[in-house]
Amino acid sequence: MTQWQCIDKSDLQAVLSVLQEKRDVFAPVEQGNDLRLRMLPAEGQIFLGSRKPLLPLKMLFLPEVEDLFSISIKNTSPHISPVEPITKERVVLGVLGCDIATLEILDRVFLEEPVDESYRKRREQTTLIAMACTGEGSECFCTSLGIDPLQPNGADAVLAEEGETYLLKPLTKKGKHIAEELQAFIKEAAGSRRPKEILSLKYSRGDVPVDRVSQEPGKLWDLPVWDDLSALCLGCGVCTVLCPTCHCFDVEDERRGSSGKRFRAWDSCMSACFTRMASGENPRPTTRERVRQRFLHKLCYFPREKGMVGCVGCGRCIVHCPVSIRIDEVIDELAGGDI
Amino acid sequence: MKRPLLVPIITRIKSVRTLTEDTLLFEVMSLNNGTTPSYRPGQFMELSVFGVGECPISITSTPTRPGYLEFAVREVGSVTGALHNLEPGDCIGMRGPFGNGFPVETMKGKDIFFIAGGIGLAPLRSLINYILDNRGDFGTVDIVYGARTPELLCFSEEFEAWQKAPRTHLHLTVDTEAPGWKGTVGFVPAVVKALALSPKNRIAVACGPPIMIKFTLLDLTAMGYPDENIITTLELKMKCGIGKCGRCNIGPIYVCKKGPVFRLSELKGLPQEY
Repeated sequence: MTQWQCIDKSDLQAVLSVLQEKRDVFAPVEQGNDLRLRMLPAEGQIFLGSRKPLLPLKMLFLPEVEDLFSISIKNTSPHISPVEPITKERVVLGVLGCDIATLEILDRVFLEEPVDESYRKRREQTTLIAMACTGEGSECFCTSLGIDPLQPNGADAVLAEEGETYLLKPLTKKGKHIAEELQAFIKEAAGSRRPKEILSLKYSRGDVPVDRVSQEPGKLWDLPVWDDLSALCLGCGVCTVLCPTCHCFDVEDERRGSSGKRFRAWDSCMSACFTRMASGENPRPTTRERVRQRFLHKLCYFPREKGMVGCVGCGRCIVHCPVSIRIDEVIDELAGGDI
Repeated sequence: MKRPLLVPIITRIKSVRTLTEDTLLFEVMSLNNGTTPSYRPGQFMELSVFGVGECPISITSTPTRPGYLEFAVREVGSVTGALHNLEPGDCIGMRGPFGNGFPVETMKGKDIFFIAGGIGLAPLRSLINYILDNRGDFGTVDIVYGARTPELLCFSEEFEAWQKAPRTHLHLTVDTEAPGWKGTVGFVPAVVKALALSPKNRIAVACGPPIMIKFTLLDLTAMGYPDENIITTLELKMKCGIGKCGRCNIGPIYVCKKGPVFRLSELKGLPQEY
């Protein structure tokens, strides 16, 4: 059993320099009022603590826009060159348990046959160092989804803040490898101290009844909640953009003269054109169907098909929804509807 | 290196033939090594025009006639429009085949009742010719095929071969009277009803515009066809073809993977969102 180790906070820059020698290093950085996951060195102060970056961890595995291949057309003969998805190993530092838990959800889509090679390579070449989190605000409900934000699963190593030091615990081979590289900075073995003993959870609603939502779409299909939500929802789609588990994408071409590219980009089921066919027909013509799709995909279809809920309780959609739609309240409603 | 999933192969158009005023038939050459990808009737490919985009098109040729692939493309959007501007010798991108295809094995020994409207014949043509090429494996074949006008009937040059095939009956219909048209006049569901083919040991396979499908399915049920023996195809917006991009999601399934071919019994287990 690997023990917790200890690194002085004042050594952080030096630690980052060591990691950057061989890899691209990403961490949350304060930019304006937001926290952003950025490759270092980046403008702004690194922030390691109980705060989520605005755009979630998925951006490093399924980029907002990702070129698939370039196209060059010579004498009407097209030539295509696939784009290498990742060229250097990466370390992501300071991500929270909720975002890390999303990767298990995304794995069930992108690592399932046929495997998405770009995603797989990025997963393989990335080491995740999580930050123990005590909860960011009243929007948090990760503990309802079985996530332990103080000791997140799925990371390669965990960091926890204690006064002027960071406690570090490697959890996987990749994590141990990193710890070995940082030997020079490890001051002492932290012994029996555990983040659970020095940190306590400030926020995370643990009683959101996700398990009580029916996996039978028919039971949830005509509930009045869809009317109520569609009367409120503006269809802006900010919930899908900021959601760490939303993974729907669009594929588009771009051409200028004899060269161009095909790329994929984040897309949103909240947009009317998401399902509108060239014929003009649209199986989800109004906000009512689209709101229902967004919630049922996460809470009913995904659990039924993939065996886990498609939500990690990060609460980004709650914080940023312009009309204050709360997914935790929707879950309460759906669970009630089934009783 | 493994070919990334969303990267197509490049192939050339061998011939282009006009089927109707808005529909062309593209014959695509076999792959560079002389083979055609193995596929089942009812599957589809993602065709691309580089610089414009990709769209899902059902394969209308049959795997029993290897060496080429055929696609009937109706001009409705940007990619199909760009495809219509191409000529023999031009290159297109191709990914696939995708989807489940028709349950050919379970259809063996059964009488087959094809019901098609307009370009809905395209995926059925693959199965019709597959059955005719394996004639001994299947029972009687009846094909009801209709369009608004005689000119909008696709694949008319194949009708004679179908009529002449053993134990095969072709019932053509158009929506309204037309000069020179000597066949039946009336909507497809009405012809299906009038034919009154017994549901005993018979599987119905329907593909066509939504309104035709809606009434045909109701009529077949009224005629006593069990839901397991009524087969149809769903058309939804698709992008990736591999169950990841999220567009063709209906309840817990992705039409591009679990479909596009469904038995009515399977459709009844899905939310009504197609």
